[in-house]
Parts: sequence; C-alpha cells; structure tokens
Amino acid sequence: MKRLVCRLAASGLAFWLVASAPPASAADEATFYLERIEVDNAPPAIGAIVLSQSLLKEGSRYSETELRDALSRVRRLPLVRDAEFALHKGSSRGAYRLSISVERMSPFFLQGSSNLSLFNETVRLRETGRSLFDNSAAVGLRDSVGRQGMLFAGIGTTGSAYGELGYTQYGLFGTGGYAAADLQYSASGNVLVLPFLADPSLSGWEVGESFAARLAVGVPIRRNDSIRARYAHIQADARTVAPVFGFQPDTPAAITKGRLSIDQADLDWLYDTTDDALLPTQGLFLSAGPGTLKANTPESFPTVSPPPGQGPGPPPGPAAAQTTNTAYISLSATRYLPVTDRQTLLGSLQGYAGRTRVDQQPRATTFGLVGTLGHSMSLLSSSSSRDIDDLRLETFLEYTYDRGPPLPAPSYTRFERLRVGTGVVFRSRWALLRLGLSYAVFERGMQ
Amino acid sequence: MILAVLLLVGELSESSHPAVRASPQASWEEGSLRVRIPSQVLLDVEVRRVIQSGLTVTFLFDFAVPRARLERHARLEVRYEPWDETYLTSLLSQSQKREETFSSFDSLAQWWEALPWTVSGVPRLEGSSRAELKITISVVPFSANEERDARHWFAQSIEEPRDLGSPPAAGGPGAQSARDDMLGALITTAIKRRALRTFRWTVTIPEQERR
Repeated sequence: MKRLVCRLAASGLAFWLVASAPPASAADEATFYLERIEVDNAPPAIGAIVLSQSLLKEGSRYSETELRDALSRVRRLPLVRDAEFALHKGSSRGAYRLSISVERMSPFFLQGSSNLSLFNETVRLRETGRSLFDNSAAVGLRDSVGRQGMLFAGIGTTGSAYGELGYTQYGLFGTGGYAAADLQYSASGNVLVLPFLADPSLSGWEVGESFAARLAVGVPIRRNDSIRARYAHIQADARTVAPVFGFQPDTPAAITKGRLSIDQADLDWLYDTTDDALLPTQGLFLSAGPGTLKANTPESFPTVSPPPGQGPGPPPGPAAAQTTNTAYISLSATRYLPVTDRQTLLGSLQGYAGRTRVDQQPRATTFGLVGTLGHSMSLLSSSSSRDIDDLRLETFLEYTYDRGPPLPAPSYTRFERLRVGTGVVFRSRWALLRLGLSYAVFERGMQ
Repeated sequence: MILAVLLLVGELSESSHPAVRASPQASWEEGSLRVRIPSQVLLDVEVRRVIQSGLTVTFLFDFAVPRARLERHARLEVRYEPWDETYLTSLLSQSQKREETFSSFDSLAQWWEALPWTVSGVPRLEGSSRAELKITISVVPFSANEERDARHWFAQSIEEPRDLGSPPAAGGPGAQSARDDMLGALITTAIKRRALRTFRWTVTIPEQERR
C-alpha cells in the first residue's frame, strides 16, 4: 500500500509538472473583437459543425493565443483536412470579420494497416510461432446529416469481416459539445486478447460472432479543457481459449462454452492542444478521471492429448467462468515536441490505480502504467504533391507494467512488456494507411 | 543513442525551400559580421499568404559558425493590421527590442532587404579554408507569447537596451554572453510549434580586412 501511495504521488507530481505551464501573458498580446465569423468553402451543415466546435462566438474578443487554440480544435475534427484563419475589416473600426477556410476530407475513406510483430519467444494467437502478421482494411462513407450531424458506415476485415455504423451529433446543448455512437458487428471468427485486468490469464480467445457498441459525450469547459464520458460494451461468442505464451507446444486449445463480454465506462477531464487528432506533431494531451471495467469470461474445458501409445485419460477439470470488476482512476500525459519542421518527439505516460474483485474474492489493489518514447519524421519535402497530407516514419519504444489481483496459476499477478517498433504512415484526403514492424524485447506474465 | 541517430538522419535529410534562389550577403562592417537576408523569404507564396491573414507570423533566425562553435538567435514578428493596412513588426534579438510600422508590403520588403543582422562575437578564423556561416529562418504562424513567459522566468535581470538605433545584434559578447546565450536558446526552443516554412543557406564568411 505504501508503494502504491508513493507511485501515485510520483505519477501525480509528473502529471503536475507536465500540465503546469506559465499563464500566457496577455498584457502585450493583440486582441480582436470578432463581429462576424464565417466558414468558407463548406456546405452549411459542415460550416455549422466547424463554428460550434471552434468555440468562438460572434461579438466576443479573442487573443491570438485563443485563436490559435481554436484553429487547432477545428483542425482536429475528423471531417477537416486543413483549415486557416484570416482577419478582415468589420463594419466599424476595431471590429473584425474572421473567415475560416476549410478543406474537407473526402466522404469516401479507406483505412488499411499491415503490421509484423516479432516476439522473442513462441506465442500462440491466430497461429503459433515467433511472429504474427496482422492485416486489416476498411472502406466507408461519411457525410453530414441534418443540423451538425455526421453519419458514417463502413465494412472491413481484420482476418474476419465486420460492418460498422456510427453517428456523431455536434453542437450539443447549443455549445461545442458532441455525442457519438458506434456499432460494430462481425459474424466470423477472430482471436481476441483481453486487457490484463479483464483476463489475467493472458489468453487468446477464439471467437465467432462478436458485437461492440460505444457511446461518448463530450462537453467543453474552457478553450482547451473538456469533460468526456464514455461507455463501451463488447461481447463475443467464445469457441476456444489458449494461453498466449508459457504454454506446452502440444497442448490443444481449451473448448469454451458461452459468451465473453467487457463493459467499460469512464469519465475524464481532458486538456488538448494537439494540432491533429490522428497524427499530431505538436501540443499536449492530458486526461484524468475515474472509470470502471467489468469482464466476464466463460467456462472452458481443457483437452489433453494422450501420450503416444496410450488411450485417452480422464479429462482435466473445467476452468470456471470468471467475472472481474475494477474501479480505477486513470491519468495520462502525452507531449508532442516539434524539434525541427519535419521531426517530432513524443513522450507519453499513462497510468491507472484501482481496486479489483475477481468473482467473490476480496478486492485487491491493482495498478499499471505505460510509458512511451517516440520519434516521427515527415518524409515529404516542401515541393511534394499537395495530394499527400502526410507520409511519416514513426518509431517508438514502449514499456508496459500491470499489477493485478493475486490469483493462482494459470492466471498471472503481474504483466510486463517492452516493445520497440517502427512504421510508415500515409495519409491523404481519402486514405489512412500504415505499414509497421514491432519487436517484443520481452513480454511476460509473472506470479 | 537510437534517438540521436534518428534526429541526425532527419536533420541531414532536411533541405531548404527550393523557391528562394537568392542568397544572403555577409560582410564585415565596423569590425562586425553583418548579414542581409533576401526579401524573397517574404515573397514566398505561403509566407505572404499567412502574413496577409492579419495574424502574427514569427520569423526565427539562427546564425551559426560551426568552426567557431558559435550560435546566435533572433526573432522577428510581423502582423498585418487590416484596418490601417499597415505592417507591424517587432524585432527581438540579444538584449534588443525594436518595433516599426510599414505602410505597404513593398516598404516592408525593402526594409527587410536592407536590414543588417549583426552576428556578434565571430572571431578572426585563421587557416586556408574559409569559415562558413549557416543561416536558418523558420517561419512559424501565430505569435510567440511563450517566449515572453520564458524571458520572465529566467531573464528578469536583463534590462531593455536604451539605444535602439543600432542594427539588431544576434548575439552578445563579454560578461553577459552566458545569460544571453540562454536567452537566445530560449528564443528558439521556447517556441515549440511546427514551422510553416524553413529556409537554409550556407554562406562563406569573407576575409576580415587586417588593419
């Protein structure tokens, strides 16, 4: 408990150091009275979304710092490819008209990724081996609906096909708030590895039909601060389960009966000054808040292959269904630092601390952290085609540590991983493609 | 080590904007090395568009003489005021701050072209090969208020210069050099925003006349 308090205090101190910044001195900064705000190059529905999410109001006075933050908010919108602000004379001296020029993302989008993961030991996921080649692809359409609504629909594959439907309503409560809902369904099989707190056995669950629903509501507080509430429900029909590592090579996967499910809810304070929602190159992102995680994993029936020459022996006992409940507080801080006009360094620290109950056992203290260092470099020169928004080489080093409740084998009490990786990301008006390579220096569960 | 390699590879792969063909001119004047920057920087399409937006554009100047292990920094802010149709400038270099207003873009460009930047503290460099001056100008949208706060934190004791008539000095020799170097580093590194454009030149430092 003492160590947990010390760790939390250290995390809080680090969080405060990252978050604390000198207040912007407004004494010498020019301010502008915005008599009128107009959005150019966009249909009325998109213009209304841009205006509400900018958090700028006609008839108010803003400093350049506040306008810069507003421009970052507009650029972070998923429907905006680029945006620029320009001031013009208003109707009387001292008043200005702000024009927001917007370049939209294409209504059609394509996403794809290929990642080769290498491990320093044999792992069992979709296949058994020391490497895993993951491919995914999705296509979809998105468009404005009604007043400040965005609808999107897509189909994709991650080895199994899925369909997705989502809707976001902006301008909630007449402010820059938003509400989003997303449904995803897959009829075919996949292998899922649940978060450590949801499944301390670190197993790969082969599932058939799966369904996910996500809800989110965000309300701005000040220009860079907001409150966000999220809820996610994931359920899948489990077929077999096998440990990801530390297994006997000839041991077949256990057969499962029933459904696994995860329900997660959190309420976070967010502080965001990043310049891009997908590939930020500057700014700070902070979040803090409470959450809950509940996971149900079904009963499983291990099967053991008999030694050669012998008949089948008595089957081992089933592994019981399990329910884990965690209440936690999470903190995260990510800083993007542009060191040159084409290179960005990234430092991130995420942590949580909570109390977990497994079935009817007494609650136990759990905590975890993920630390990441990264480097990103644009491969585009200034004379590159305007059709390509981003072509970046990204490299990262990531350390993960989780401490779960004390559980007997085959579950683990602790999980630790160190991973390095690199990849190339391509983004244009209609596509986001990633090609990556990662290597797990070590990845282990411990008692 | 890996991070240093990545940054070095990135740095080596970066090149200056191809559109600006004119080069800065370096000369010795009154015993100091002075540099004049071509106005094509201002005339760059993207730079001019951002200037005309009515919001502040910041130009960060870096002058480096690698052979002398010398670096100097300066900053120039330009804002177009739509009502007066004038161009407001605020120039900050080592221990100097200067503000001027121009009635047209042409007069701004003329002033820019004629403005001599003093790279202070360049020693006489002996040897058969000529020393090089590396010049980098980063164009950053919006103002640099973070720099003002950085000055407040670390450099409260630096006094504003009384004589604002001399050319801007990108560097301060002598007893204050350590503090000025810190301010110079703060001028550039405190502004942690991505540059809209970056211009780079390498200019040969002319031989200084022996008296």
